[in-house]
Amino acid sequence: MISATLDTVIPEILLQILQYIYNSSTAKEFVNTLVVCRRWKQFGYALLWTNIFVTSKTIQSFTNSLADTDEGTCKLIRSLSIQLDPVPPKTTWDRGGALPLLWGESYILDEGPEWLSDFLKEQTEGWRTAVRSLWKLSTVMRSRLSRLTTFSFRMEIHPPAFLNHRSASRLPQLMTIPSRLLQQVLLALPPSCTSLEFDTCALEAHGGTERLCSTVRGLLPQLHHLRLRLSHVCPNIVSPEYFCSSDSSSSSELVAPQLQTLTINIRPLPWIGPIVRSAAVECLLNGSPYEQSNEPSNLAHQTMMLLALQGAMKNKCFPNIEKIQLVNMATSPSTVRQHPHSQLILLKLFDFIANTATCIPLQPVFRRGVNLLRAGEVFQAFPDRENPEPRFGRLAALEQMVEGDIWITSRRGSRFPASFETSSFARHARFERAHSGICDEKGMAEAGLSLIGQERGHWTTPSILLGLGIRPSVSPTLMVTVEPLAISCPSL
Amino acid sequence: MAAASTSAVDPAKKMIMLTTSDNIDIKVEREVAERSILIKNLLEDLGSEGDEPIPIPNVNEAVMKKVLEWCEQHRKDPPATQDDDSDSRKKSTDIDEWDQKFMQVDQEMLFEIILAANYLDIKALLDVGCKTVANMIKGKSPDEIRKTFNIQNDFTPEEEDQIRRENEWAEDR
Repeated sequence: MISATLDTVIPEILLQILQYIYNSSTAKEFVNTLVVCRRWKQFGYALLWTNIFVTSKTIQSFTNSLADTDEGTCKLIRSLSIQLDPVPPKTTWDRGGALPLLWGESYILDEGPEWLSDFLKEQTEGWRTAVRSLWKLSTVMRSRLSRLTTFSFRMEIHPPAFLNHRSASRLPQLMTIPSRLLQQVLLALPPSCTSLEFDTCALEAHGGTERLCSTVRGLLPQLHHLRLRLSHVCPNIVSPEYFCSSDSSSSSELVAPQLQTLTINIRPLPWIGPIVRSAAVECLLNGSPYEQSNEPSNLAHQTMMLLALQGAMKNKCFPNIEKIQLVNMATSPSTVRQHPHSQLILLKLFDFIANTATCIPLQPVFRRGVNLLRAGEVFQAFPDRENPEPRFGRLAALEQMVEGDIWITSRRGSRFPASFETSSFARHARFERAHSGICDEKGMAEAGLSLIGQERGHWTTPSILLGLGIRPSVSPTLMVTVEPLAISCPSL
Repeated sequence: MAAASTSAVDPAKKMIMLTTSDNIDIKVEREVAERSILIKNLLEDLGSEGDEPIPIPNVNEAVMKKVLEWCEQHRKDPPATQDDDSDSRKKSTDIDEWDQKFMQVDQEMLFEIILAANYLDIKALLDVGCKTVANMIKGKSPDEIRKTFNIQNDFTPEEEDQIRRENEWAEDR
């Protein structure tokens, strides 16, 4: 009788052991198990290469691996989540002031089309590499990811410590991503892909917008779940007539028979000044100077999208839809006048199935007397009608909460539609609901204290977190309001 | 022997007989043995009497005793639910203290227990066994892993390098 050893255990047991290691160590540590022997490699690859998460730092090496690896490995990939976070050039406030390209430094043209090279010339080194890798990925995706079911592309931005209108006006051009590249990525999605998240944090550069939206519309028939956060999303996404396009095929009628969830977030960039207004988007669009008086244009955009989505519902474009929602953000001018330092943001959620429009008040947690905000910093939201206690978190996390956590993040950063959690897909335990972005007041106190530890001097005292500064004054403006969904044109 | 009192005794406390691969009979309370889904199903199929010894041809006496020691300790654990599969795996490789001590055996016994748990269909014991092995592997270099478990390296250094390169994108998270 052969004695029992790890070498002789049946495959199911070895797989289970490796799964435990995979679930409880980092991906990098897990690579150690892949090089033990061929048998382990075979099982290990099946775990590591099923759901892939890459960032600005790792997209280059992943793209190279994908292009070079054998077909068997490529076929393991079921989901690909990409998180590209542009790193802005340092401003003088950060004791930097360096331009992305130093004088005298020459930019070496590499492979890629001319429009991409032109765009990359302006970018910082790290961002250049990441963006070019995304382009390269788009050229190999369709053939290499033939079994992909879920694709997520996300961007989040971490601007420099201080922003004012002057420095902010320069930053957007430096941290955008070309719409044309995004379109190329979408066009490269294989037919097997049924869940798509495309979230640029409203950072995509203008140009070819209607084509980007038409491309998404072209994908709708194959999709089960779609989440978009784009600043330039237009009604073309559901209605081909909106923009006259030279492409004749785009006028065909839209039917998305499989679509179950559709979330479109059209909120503008939140981080210029205390909160950006839609005017800043206008400024991005037209290159006109930033002015604060164009608020209604964002509301017009909102109305346009509401009408388009409602029209699509009426035309039975989505026979199997379970959730369809539009998210937007606006400032509340009345409160600005009353409390200039505690500007109120309204997150608006339009739910087409429940037929409701919900307004959720959101406030940045402020430093005393500083009417500037570092993005990605802590906000408080008041999402619960019954419970006036605020929830704290980074803006992206709170937005997701408002969206109803339609998409969730696994422990390793992979993104999936929440409905996957209950399916057999989840039985392999690759999920761990990550709600790290949101905390209650107690958690906030801990997080806040550690923030104070890091940034002593920017916050006044802990009491601003624990006491006055962050406590919701129980006023009607801080309550959630839910109204029947009624669409009307805003007064311009 | 206790046949006369069968009706008076709590069926869970009733003694049953298992015959191991080395032909040793082991007497054990029914409730304890029923931690094994295999034995539980066998007993149900055989009818409520269960006076016949049940042959367990894949497990020897030493391993069976060890497995039953675990079953005795965990006799009152709630039965595994449908969701257990995903839930237990989600959690870390934490093992409770008694189980940790229980698993302090030589490697051969450890794998014998795992194989027995798999054969007897005792999911919780199989999990503990796999977690124990996973913890022995975690944090070790490939060489240390091979040494610990006496595994032959069938890669050339070039192949090893290539695997590392191919997985460079794997992050520290």
